[in-house]
Amino acid sequence: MANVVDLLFATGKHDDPALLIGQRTVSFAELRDAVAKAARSVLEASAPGDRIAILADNGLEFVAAYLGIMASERIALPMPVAAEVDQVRGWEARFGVRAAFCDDRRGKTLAAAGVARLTPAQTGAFERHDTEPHTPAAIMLTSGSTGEAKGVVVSHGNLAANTGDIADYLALTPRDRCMVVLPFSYCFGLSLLHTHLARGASLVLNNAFLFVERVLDEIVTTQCTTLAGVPATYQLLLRRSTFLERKLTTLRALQQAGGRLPRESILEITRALPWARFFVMYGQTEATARLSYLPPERLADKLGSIGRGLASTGLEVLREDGSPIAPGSEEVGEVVASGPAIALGYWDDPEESARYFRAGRLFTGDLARVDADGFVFLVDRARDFLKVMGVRISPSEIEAVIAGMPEIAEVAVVGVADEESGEAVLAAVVPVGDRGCDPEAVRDYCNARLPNVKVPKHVVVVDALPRTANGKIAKQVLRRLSS
Amino acid sequence: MITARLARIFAKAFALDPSEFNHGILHGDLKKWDSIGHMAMVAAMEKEFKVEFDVDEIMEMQSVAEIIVVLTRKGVTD
Repeated sequence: MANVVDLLFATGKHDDPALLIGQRTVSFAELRDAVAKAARSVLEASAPGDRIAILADNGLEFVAAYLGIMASERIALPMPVAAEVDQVRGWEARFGVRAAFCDDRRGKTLAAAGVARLTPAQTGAFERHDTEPHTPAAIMLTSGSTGEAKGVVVSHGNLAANTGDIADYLALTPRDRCMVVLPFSYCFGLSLLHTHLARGASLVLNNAFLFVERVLDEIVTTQCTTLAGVPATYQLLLRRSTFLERKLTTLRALQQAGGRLPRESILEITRALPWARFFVMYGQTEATARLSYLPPERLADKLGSIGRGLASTGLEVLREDGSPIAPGSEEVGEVVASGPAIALGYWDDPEESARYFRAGRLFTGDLARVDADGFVFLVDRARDFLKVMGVRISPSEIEAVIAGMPEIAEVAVVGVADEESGEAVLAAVVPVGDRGCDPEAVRDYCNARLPNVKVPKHVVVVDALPRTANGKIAKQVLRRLSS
Repeated sequence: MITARLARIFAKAFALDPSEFNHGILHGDLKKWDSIGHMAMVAAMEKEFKVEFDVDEIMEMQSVAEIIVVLTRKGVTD
């Protein structure tokens, strides 16, 4: 089988644009050249299978390094750009990092962490490699249940399979252009890179999503056809930008993954941009990136569902005894996935690997039910459930109720230790605008709509919800709010 | 007025519309009046009427009528 990097360059035409970064356009030929130069320095400084880290914003440095490392059959380890020196040092030790590429802004961090810095060679010729599908290509960091990052080992075969499936259902062509605001250190961000390059499409890299109007301007000027975001991305677009008012008619596909976006938000978007297809997707780093998607034509009748498995992904919802749950019932089981995109396991962690990866299958820890048509509806992450007075409670049910309060912009519910009831419900709420909000009013509102065990014992008003680098809500941080 | 004060407590603890409050309500009539709700109601009454209930009294108050009996016994009449 070909090295995954060869597959990513198989379609893009020589002079066609691959990356648009600010004023600069990088053609496929230029990108290949940059990859070859990075690969040359990798080959000189390391041996096959060595881990080479990348600490860089989305940009040419990142992409050249990432693809150069994989092309050389070394293992790429993208690190979040916000990483502190101690974290970089920790990952270096944990994954035995040989050296790292970085952009100019992160040179100091890398030096302080004592990691050798690689720079692309002056020259380099692109070489094709026959790479076994099981060869590790990258280690993707993901937050584990304990909050400490785990390294998911993804193979060349994993990347090739998942990329092909995603590019197929998005029907990407060389005419497509993606606005990328998600970091490439996150598997969702990287999947945008893989899928668009593989189909000869281009990507606009914009690292300043905080200036959201500029991002929208750039969608217009560069005529982006696709946009991808996590729920926080879309919430920001909906509440703090002119996204809905602008007629962004070039956008034909919107991708959303990385958590649950409320139905109302999805409807607001699809009503305002009826020409764009909205893809609700579900995935895990442990499955390379994507596991399922909801076909946009089923959005109306299956809203709230994560859809069905990708073409080469087997997606089942199983009871504890391993038998499938009854479709069309209220029964809940664990989402279990199989297929060529299931990652090799966690780096140097046989115990955790054995817990989630069993006989080629990924036990996701996510709980779901299945309707009569085979569409999967996530209930919650198993580890997010809380137990109050022995009753298993889904935080999303409580979140949905509180989200119905007009004065609340955002909410997250977690369980906190409680002497009386084992665990107690804590709701962190962000009020709309500067109006503030009375915690007692939130409790009363819930009390009128939920059984007593689900009524939050603690309501904490915050300015913003704490989020991880990937935009997910940092529930670990929220759990500390009760004290 | 004890009825109005109890109606407010029932509204808060059991999300019961004050217009629906009456002396005939029994434990079991209201979905929210379970063990957790009962403790919330007791806490609210202790605060409102500035009294403390012992375990037997807490068990005794299985209806609005019984609540009024217990409160009266503790000297709460208004």
